[in-house]
Amino acid sequence: MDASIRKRMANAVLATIAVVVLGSVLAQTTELRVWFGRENFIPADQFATFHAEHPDIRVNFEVIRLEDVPTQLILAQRAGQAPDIVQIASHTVPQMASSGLLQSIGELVERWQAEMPDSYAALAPITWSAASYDGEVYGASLFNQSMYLFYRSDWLAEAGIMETPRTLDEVLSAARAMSTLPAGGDRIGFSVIGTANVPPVWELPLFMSLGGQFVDGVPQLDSEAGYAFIDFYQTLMREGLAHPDSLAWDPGEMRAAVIGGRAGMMIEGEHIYVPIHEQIPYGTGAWSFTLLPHREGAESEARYIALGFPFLMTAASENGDAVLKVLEYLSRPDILMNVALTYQPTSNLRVAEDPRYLAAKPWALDILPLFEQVVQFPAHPSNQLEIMDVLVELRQEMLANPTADPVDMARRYQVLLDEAASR
Amino acid sequence: MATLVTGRGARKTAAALTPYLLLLPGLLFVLGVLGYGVVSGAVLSLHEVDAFLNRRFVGLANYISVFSDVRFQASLWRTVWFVFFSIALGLTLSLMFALTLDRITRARQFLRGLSLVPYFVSGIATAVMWRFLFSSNVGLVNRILNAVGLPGQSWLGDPTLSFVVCVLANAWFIVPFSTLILLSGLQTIDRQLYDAARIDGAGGVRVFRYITLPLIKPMLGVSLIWLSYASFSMFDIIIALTGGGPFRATEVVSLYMYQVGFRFLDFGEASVLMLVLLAINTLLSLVYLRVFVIGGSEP
Repeated sequence: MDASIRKRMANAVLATIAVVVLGSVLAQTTELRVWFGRENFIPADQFATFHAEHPDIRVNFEVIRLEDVPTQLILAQRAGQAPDIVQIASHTVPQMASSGLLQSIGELVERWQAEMPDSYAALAPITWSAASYDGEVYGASLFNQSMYLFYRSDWLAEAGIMETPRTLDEVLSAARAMSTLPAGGDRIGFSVIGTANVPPVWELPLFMSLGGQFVDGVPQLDSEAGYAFIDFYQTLMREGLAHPDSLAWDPGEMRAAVIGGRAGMMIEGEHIYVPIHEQIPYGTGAWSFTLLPHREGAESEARYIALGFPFLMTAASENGDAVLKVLEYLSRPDILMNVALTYQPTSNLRVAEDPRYLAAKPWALDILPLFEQVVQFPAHPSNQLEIMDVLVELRQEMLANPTADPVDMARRYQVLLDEAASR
Repeated sequence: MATLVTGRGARKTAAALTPYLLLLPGLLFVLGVLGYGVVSGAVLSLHEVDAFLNRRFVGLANYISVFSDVRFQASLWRTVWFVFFSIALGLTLSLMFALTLDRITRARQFLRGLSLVPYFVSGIATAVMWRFLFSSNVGLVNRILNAVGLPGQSWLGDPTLSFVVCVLANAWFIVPFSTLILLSGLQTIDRQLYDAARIDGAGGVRVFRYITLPLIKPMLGVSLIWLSYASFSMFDIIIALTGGGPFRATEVVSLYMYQVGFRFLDFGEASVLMLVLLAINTLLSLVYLRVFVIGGSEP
């Protein structure tokens, strides 16, 4: 046989072997799709280390807003394009789980505990409870926090109020005092949200701290707690303690009023303390935070909501092993640290105790005892979104009709809430 | 002779069929894409549909539920007013712009291109821009009002004012295309008609009323079809600008349909709302076609 022909045949055989090997490698690569609820949650290295550790797993991720996930997941599932892991707000876990959109990972968690005990032990129990429904664990809630009452302690001191406002009446008194302080430019005592574009996750925690009860996930507005809740917002508008344009304000405008030194108090999570700290350093006596107010004489009824952003395994996923590895990767302190330093706090205890974290968030230790009191969000198992929609309408009516009878308003909206729950 | 007649007949048939053959691909596309959606929606509207599109036939129950829903009735009224004001403002502005663009001689192409810019801006970006303009704290509009000694308004916090802002934003978005339609009509008018009218002593208003308007009547009809369709379907600007608030003051049917379909996951009732919008748009288009005699001759 001619030498050139032998050479060509050898090259062809080598090329064939290469194609077969490459094909088999590619065929063994598991593609995993992950939806992050915000860009801030994406690991800083964008899974580079993960891919190096697991060359057989390829993680493709994108950002689908937390609020849009329930709808987008259904559509994706119908199109056969559902992701393996989604990130949502914890109050939608029951509805998504009962709709069959999620898959229990109880066995995977047991494997995690058995195979990676150190990693498992670093995670606080809320990691699993905020991602659970009806006794089943559907994922890992690596980021959790609560809503607190932020207040300008320097403004309070200027007004002669030295005690931290703890009751609703004390908060209103503080707001009145702040609103009348002599200052360049107009100050408001309390910054609130009024827009219809965001869910009522700022209002529901206050309702609970006032002793508000839930029955099967339905807020019981027709109660003393409900009347006080509605009257609080109406009072803010009626007495000019909130901005007159609050009805149009979104979270950005609410926060901007505080960061810009125009508002003295707001209900907000601690992730916003990072930009505030950049403008007004914590620990200088300028601002602080406390638990949301309770009703006078009803302190024992007060409860505080945990708000989580769990990563959940979808019902469409068939890659349990890969999902477990990704969740473990996302739970690592170095991965969580980058997010926790500038954004949401994490349930990984090693991060919470890390000196870098404590340096970046000097309020972290002060907030720990507050966070230990939180309970799970009492969500409705199938109609939580409809209930939230009614509450958004209530938010707007409270601000738009500050002179209406709060009891009448509470009763009307109780009817609407009960109807929404029964659809 | 027979061959000659046959040849001529075949050519006549081919000539008669050609327009339909040329229309066929477009028609198939419309039927395939839109038609499928409409028929599917009509079928869904007769069923109770869960999140996974599992269906249970319920007949007209969804229709009864929707039409008896106070929230739908309110959104429908709101939509009618929204469309009415959008058309009134949109048609007036687009006619003004078209007349101006038809008459200018310098930088004509540049200005015509510039007039189309709003149409190319996404609805969300439009909403963000208008939200910034009418923000009570930092908005340009309130700053101008304050500068001339007038008090700033709560544009997005007041139900009536927020409705006005939505109409303005919608008009800003839909006017460019309407302007283009009217401009194309104006450019087909024989200039000698204007010259003759001026010689006869006709002023600007009479020329506009008796020459321009009648001659662009079909284009006015097309423009109205666009303005009303775009306004009835407007969603992205309103959802980003006000979210349907404050207090549902700007919740038009398209927003309500989104809520029902994608928030409450009630695809059956959402399909009913889709058909309502389709019926209204179709009916209006037929009215415009009849009134403005588009594509036909005057009786």
